Amino acid sequence: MAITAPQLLPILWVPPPTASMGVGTASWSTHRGAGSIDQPAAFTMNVPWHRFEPLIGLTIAEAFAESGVVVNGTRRDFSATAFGFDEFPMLSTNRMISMHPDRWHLTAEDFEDCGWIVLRLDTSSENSWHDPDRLRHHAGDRLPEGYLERGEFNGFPEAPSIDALPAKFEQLSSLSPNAKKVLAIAPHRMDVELRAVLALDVDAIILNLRGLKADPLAVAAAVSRARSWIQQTRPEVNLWIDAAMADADDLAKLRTLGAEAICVDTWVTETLEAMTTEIQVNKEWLIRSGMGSNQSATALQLAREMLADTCKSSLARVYARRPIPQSIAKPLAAADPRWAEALSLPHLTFIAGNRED
Amino acid sequence: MSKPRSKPSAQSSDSATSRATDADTVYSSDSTSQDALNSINATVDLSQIDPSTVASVFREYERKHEDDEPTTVQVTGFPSLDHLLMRTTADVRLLINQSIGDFAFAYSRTTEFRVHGDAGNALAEALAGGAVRIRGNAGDAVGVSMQSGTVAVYGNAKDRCGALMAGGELFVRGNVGDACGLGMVGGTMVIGGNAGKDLGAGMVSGTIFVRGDVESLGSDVVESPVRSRDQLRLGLLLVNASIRGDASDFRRITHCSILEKEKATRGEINPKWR
Repeated sequence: MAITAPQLLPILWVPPPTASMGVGTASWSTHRGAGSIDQPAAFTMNVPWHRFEPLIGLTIAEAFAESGVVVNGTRRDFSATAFGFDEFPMLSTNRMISMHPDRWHLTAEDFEDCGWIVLRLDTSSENSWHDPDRLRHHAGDRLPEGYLERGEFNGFPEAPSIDALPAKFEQLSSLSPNAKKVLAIAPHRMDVELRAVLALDVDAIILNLRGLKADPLAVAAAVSRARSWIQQTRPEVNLWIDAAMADADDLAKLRTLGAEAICVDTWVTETLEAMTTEIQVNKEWLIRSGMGSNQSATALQLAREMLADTCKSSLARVYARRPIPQSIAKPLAAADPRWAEALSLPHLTFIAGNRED
Repeated sequence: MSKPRSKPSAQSSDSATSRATDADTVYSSDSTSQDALNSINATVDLSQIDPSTVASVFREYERKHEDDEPTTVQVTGFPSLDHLLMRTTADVRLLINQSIGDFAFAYSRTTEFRVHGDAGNALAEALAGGAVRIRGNAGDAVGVSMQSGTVAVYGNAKDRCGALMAGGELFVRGNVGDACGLGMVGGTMVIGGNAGKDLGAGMVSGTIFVRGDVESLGSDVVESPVRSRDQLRLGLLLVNASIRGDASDFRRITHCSILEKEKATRGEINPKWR
């Protein structure tokens, strides 16, 4: 995933001190303990679980779920361990499953306990199906050598058109009556699709900005506009943003522009890598400290520490900002007059001179 | 393809019913299904039972030993014809004597379904085992994402049949529409009639056998010689699906890299002459 520099730089906080660590009502640890996450502030969409040891993936997923993150993964993504889902209560109740083109990962059991199901209305900006690692992991030796350099395949949407969505939603309701339904849409057709989608029984909409080569101002404007439309029609529907941006400031700004939750795939992947390295480096120490006898508990504790080390402050930054759709303009201001006009934000100007206390 | 072939005579999405006539004249009737009709062991009226207990009701009829014939249960009284009997895992044979709607039998495994009527879209989506036999026509995306098991349509199927198939066997006795085998990564698809445009587009593995005309193949998809082992395998598959036909009438469609791999290694395609 290409990580860009803070893209929403011309937007500033007003007042700035609220963006600092520890300020705000929400805490990254408030969701710890079994229970459901009704209003997530973060979610994962496409974490490469297959690249990591199943136990590491499972424990990191549980640690993030404990932190209030909705984790996207199938049972098969976390299989091949000796542990049942019972040992990971937050993951089992706050899991999201994607009806992705590679749907052969999904089993009937996935629908029994997942909390969220996400559908995509458009796949034109993605090529996740062609991820060679993921395909090899799941298809194994069925694949011939060299096919990836030749194949061209631009994905297969779960719902090829808006007309097909009601039937698909009805199917999901039948497959998993308790799961919340999430629909991912592309921003370039938002003007047409968002209004139609809001007429359906949808709980959240993901604005898929991943891989989008757009002006940062256009991204900010799209989020702000989507929030306004949702607010006018179905204010109870959540707006989630799936963007490649990994900077906590940008993600927090997107939340303040009206997004309820943001995608944190990059942070989860970083934590997975950190824990993999930690286990490789300190293998003997971990075995002596009980990894061998009480593996899942030790691994889970380690996963919590890894999460705290790698992205606790970033998560806290994002959680500290609650979206305020009723008064979008109030907590933000733009240093650039163009941004201020496009986003209806106050234009923040600086006057040179000495400040007298 | 060795030569361009003509477009199937009826490819429009609303012509599934009319195409069934062609298919039935080419093939004989499905005798196994007729036998099953004559030996119904039980009948379950779904309108009389709580939807949450359907799975446990079917489990009561599961066979006790692997060698036993599965119990044939006729199912009636569907509250809705769409998304019928999804996630069914009981080891029984379920018989349905009417046409059904979209998403039927999705995510099921182990169970054998027999339908005497037409089926809607996304029949047997992500099937993980068992068998589905449709004595009629089917809509779009038959067997999409199926992982294992057998799906047999004795009439015609529309577009995207076998899309994203990862395993199992899919048979269509008659014609299929466009983009069949789209993104296929495994399994075998057998088409008894004609195929539309972009057959096998984006497929990376798996095999398609086709008997009739193909309007066009997807890029990097080629017609490969049918080896004797393919003929043998296809013959067995046809018997298994209760479809009469000679395996030598079919052509094999694969990704070009599979053919290149076969050419690069000694075997039937590249024999070692002395």
